[in-house]
Amino acid sequence: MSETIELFRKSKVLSLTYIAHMRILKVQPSKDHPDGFKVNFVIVDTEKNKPVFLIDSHEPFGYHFHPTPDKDHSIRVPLDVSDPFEALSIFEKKMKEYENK
Amino acid sequence: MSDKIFHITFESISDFIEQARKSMRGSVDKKNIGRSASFKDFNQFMDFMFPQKFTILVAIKMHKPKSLYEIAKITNLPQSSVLKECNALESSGFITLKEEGSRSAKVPELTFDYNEIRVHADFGDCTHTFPRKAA
Repeated sequence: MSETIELFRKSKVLSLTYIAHMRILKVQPSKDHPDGFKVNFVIVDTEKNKPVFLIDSHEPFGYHFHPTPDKDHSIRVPLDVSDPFEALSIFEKKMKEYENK
Repeated sequence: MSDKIFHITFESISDFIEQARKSMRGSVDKKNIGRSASFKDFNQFMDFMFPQKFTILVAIKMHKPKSLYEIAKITNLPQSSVLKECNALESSGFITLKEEGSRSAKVPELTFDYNEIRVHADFGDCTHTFPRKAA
């Protein structure tokens, strides 16, 4: 029986235009989520109500980001990370970038 | 009563990320699971929230409107402003917009049925309690 536990779901207002939202689930390790974490990190442009940057993780892509999630969700760029903590660090840098936009 | 509170916290991006890291290491804070939003500082919170978003939030809590059009009527705000502010309130975790009906009208609801917004400022906590709707 698979058990999913929500660990984190919180938004951070970066500016009057950009908001970051992060959701982290602990899931049963599987082919889709071998490390047992399912993550969704997104930055939203509230003026246009569109996501502008998105990191998530699932097989066969592993951790990856969508550079243009509002235009073409099928474009994925693999992230060279070995665990979700490194993915968090990459998202942190992106949040700081958008905080100053 | 404590589960009826939506928390406003202030921290840097690095501290916010650290909270996420801690949750993955097993130190889960229930406040951080859909029951709070984070801002850089008190000024950013005030700029973000007042006056329109707060007015809309109170209207949602008090009147339980069934559409954004209803909010516009209650608050006397242009419908385009209501849509924009509601999208930002949804992205920041205060409300959800559910699509209902054949025309997929957006129905605003509080993320959960909170009665209070508690602001955890460095000068102390302050709480806004929504007034009870008159019977």
